[in-house]
Amino acid sequence: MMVSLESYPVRSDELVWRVIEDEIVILTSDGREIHTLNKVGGAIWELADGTISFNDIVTRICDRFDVSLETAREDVIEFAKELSEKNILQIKD
Amino acid sequence: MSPDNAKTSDDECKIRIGGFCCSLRFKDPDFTASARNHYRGFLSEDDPDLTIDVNLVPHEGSIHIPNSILISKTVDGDNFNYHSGLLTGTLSLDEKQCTIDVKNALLHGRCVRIFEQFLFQVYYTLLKEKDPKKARNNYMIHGCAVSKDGYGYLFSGPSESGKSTIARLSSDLNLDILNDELVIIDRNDGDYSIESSPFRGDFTDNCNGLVPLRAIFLIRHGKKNTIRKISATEFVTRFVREVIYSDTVLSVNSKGTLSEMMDFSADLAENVKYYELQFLPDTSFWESIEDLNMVQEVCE
Repeated sequence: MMVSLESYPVRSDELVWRVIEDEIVILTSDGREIHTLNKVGGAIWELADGTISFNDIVTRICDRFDVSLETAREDVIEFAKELSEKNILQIKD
Repeated sequence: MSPDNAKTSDDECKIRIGGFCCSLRFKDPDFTASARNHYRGFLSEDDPDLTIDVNLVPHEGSIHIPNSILISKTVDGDNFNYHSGLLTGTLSLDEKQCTIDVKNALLHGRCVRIFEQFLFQVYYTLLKEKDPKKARNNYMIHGCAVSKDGYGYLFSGPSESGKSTIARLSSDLNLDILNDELVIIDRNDGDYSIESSPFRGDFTDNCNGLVPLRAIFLIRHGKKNTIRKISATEFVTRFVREVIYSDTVLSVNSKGTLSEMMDFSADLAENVKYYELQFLPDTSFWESIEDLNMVQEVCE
């Protein structure tokens, strides 16, 4: 799946998620799958409300964590692909 | 302890599930006797909170018995249908009456587990009806609970993780086994207690009781006894899988239900000690737990 830095990620409505000890725990609505996200993944997840583009998310990740712009772009895109394939993150233009 | 000499009519088996009494009424007295034997130790003589008339439906040939504990269910008004017709029925809480048609295969051998999934939801139904606030703090848990020195220890894990083994080994030490399969955790004013349920696994010599919850161990078989402190995240992600879905008979899996289960698991992580326990198939794992208790007492 192609993910553009200009697109907007939004968390699926069909999920339950909680912040536990700085990590994100996501439970799918059928209760069959549980996912955990580390601090960086969690930061992206919390920004994925459909109003912030990946470009802006990359910028905020660089501000918050000690990571280069290039690495942040790659990580964010990879993260978006993985979560969208699992149907827990939706990508909007 | 609930008395086993319950004063009931010949056609009913009244069982205590948590704080509720459910009457199972069969037309065939042999089934009533069988149910009373199956749920011995948990029989009640109270007025039932719900009476369930059980109609057995014969079937020809084999039927598909789901091997998943996940429940497939449809609901239409007061009518429900579990597992594509294996168990169907009608519920009227106002009349404290439920009528079910059950394929008779579900009341034999290990298939009883499928029938009991319905009873789990009966429990949650009564809980949410009678005390919605308590319902958010009271869950059935897939686990083995042992009472030692007046405190409850929960050993939780998926099938084959060793729950019945823990029960058998603990029984060898003359400890009280609350249950080896399904227990009820309740939070009341910030204090957690653990209670037995009528729903047993392979260990059948359990007792009906309620004790304060001291610790939770997520278990797995190991090559040595190891108690490992795990993160709250790991605890919640593993433990929430062992919480029995708290849907009611007339509701279907909902996001709200999952949210409450997650919150309950996260609250447990904040208020109860939890570990991963890898254990050898002998009683020595209790020595490791004793060592852990001594360390905690020194620290406290």
